Amino acid sequence: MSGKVKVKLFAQVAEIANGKEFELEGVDVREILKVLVTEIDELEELLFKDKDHAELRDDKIVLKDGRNIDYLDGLDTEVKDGDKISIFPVVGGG
Amino acid sequence: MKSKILRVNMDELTVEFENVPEDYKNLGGRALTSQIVADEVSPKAHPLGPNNKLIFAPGIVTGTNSPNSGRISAGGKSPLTGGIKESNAGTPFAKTLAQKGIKALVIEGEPKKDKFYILKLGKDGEQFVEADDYVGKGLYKAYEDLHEEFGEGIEITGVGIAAELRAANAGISYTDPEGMSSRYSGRGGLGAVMASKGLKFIVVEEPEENMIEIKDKETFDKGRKKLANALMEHDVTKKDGALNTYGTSVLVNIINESGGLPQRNFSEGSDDRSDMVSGERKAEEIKKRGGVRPHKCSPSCIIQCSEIWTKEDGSDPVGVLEYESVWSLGPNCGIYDLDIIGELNRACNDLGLDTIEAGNTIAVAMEGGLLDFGDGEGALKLMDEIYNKTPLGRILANGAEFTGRAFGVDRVPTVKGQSMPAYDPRPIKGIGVTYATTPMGADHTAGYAIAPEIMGVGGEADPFDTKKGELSKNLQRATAAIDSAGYCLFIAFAIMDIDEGMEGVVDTVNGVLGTDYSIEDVMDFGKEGLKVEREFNEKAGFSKEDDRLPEFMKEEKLPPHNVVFDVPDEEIDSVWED
Repeated sequence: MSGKVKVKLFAQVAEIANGKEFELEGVDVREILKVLVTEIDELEELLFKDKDHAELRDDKIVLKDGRNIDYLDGLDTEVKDGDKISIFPVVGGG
Repeated sequence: MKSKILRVNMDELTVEFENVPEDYKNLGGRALTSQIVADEVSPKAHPLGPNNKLIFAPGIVTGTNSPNSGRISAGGKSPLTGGIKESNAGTPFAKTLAQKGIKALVIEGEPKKDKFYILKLGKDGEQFVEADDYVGKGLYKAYEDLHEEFGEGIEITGVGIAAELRAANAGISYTDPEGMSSRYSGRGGLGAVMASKGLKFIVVEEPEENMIEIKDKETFDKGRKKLANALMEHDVTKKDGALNTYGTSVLVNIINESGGLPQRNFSEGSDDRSDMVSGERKAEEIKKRGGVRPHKCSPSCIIQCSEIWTKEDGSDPVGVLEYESVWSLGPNCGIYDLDIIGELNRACNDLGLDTIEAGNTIAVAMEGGLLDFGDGEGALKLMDEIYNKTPLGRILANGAEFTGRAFGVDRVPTVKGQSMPAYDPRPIKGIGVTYATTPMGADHTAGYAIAPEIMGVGGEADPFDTKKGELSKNLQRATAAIDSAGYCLFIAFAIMDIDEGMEGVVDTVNGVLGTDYSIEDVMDFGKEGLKVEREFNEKAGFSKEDDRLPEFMKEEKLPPHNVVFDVPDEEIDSVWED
């Protein structure tokens, strides 16, 4: 079952998209991100290691409802209506 | 070794240069301040009494041209925690002190008369100058006046009005590259220790001859280049990377989205309004206002995460608004306005207060009903109470725990009397283990588990996983070593992921000292340093029962993840197992 989710982009990822928020539909995180990169071409190379969308680049962090998808089911993490996806470049500070 | 230890006797107002004892030759920064404190200060001494001492020590590589090496450690027994304290800062003062050939400054005793002095370490010798004109003066103006009085080519460290009150949240300030009082050994109240010695400022003149000795220049240069390459390559530390572009408060959004950015005295872990005070917003504003970003806090920095925040019209520079400060004075108080946060940060820098503790204090005062969450103007008025040295101001200047007691608050986010930085430990548990166990009291820098837990830097660790003893232990050991080498902790992002960077650190240290340390030795070096600190605290009366987070964090679920801090005590205690 697919869900409509809010997608928020941050830092340099947001700058490339010229705006931070999207509402997109899909069954899992991979599908949501695939829709996102069709809307903003430049994001494809920035987010994915390859054209098959098999793997996220190591320098990106994707959260689903505040949890890094690495600790859920990765790009296969399912989404439902009202979920939130947040996308960051690797950041540091402290 | 050309470098000396300079012992400053405030009873007699005398100074004496001493040769560096054999045992101290390979120590620097934190390892050296903690070792001197352990050797010379009774753990039972009153932090503000004549038997405590204040130690300054640049790191091993500080003052060289190795990248990001401009750190200085201040150490002593803390009036805030009652335990050992080391608090380090990046400042040009560090380089100047190191190049002057001072491996450590030991300040001891207290003057017979109730007076404040300036210690000048000049090209022509050392002298004490009365500081009467500076008492009650804000530090921004004081540093301007000191530059006028002592001329250009000086660097300064000093304490402000909060320290005059001998308050437990008084930090030690240092000059930034513009000469302003915006760099801090903020944590743990060491400013009050300095004031208790009758010492208001130390002014160091740039030496004519650079006294730093590099025993093996070839190894040093090789290491310096390796470290620079790693810093320029890593995504976090490289030019145009996140730190360089947005500053440390690029973390506001990711920690908020992760549900771990404490709001309104640690009652929630996220709030959509946090974006209004994010690093992205701040960088945009600085550009608009004509402030400076990026900027370096000390001469050798190549990461350049710093900045100069100003008022809306570009006037009245504050210095950097760090992530921790933005959070503590902002979302933690329900304040989502960068201009108010900027003015609160200005007041902290001017009064000589640690921003993390100050923000937590305001939040606890809000919780106690003194003012409402979100009341920025009210928060600024609390700062006026400290300027005016009123009884309320004296309470507030003593930090969150003291203020919590004064206002009957039972939700006070402290460990060993020191309040927590900008990560709620309930949804990010590794940082909670560091808060609980570091000898410093709640301190994120002591073992920055956020890197693997949130950023996936230096390995990966699920923030919800409670098995974090080993992670925190290793981070604390590595950090103790970096803090002693004199490197900015932010090099850790690069050297944890890039082997060449770690080699560079070891090579530069070996180059300066003429030693033959291996990478494996780094962890042992850190472990030994921690042991010295832990033993001091044990003798001061601390036990593992003090290595615990506040009760409310184990019982009160933090939204939005609705989790408590549930790391078992045995897991916490495992940090101190071999």
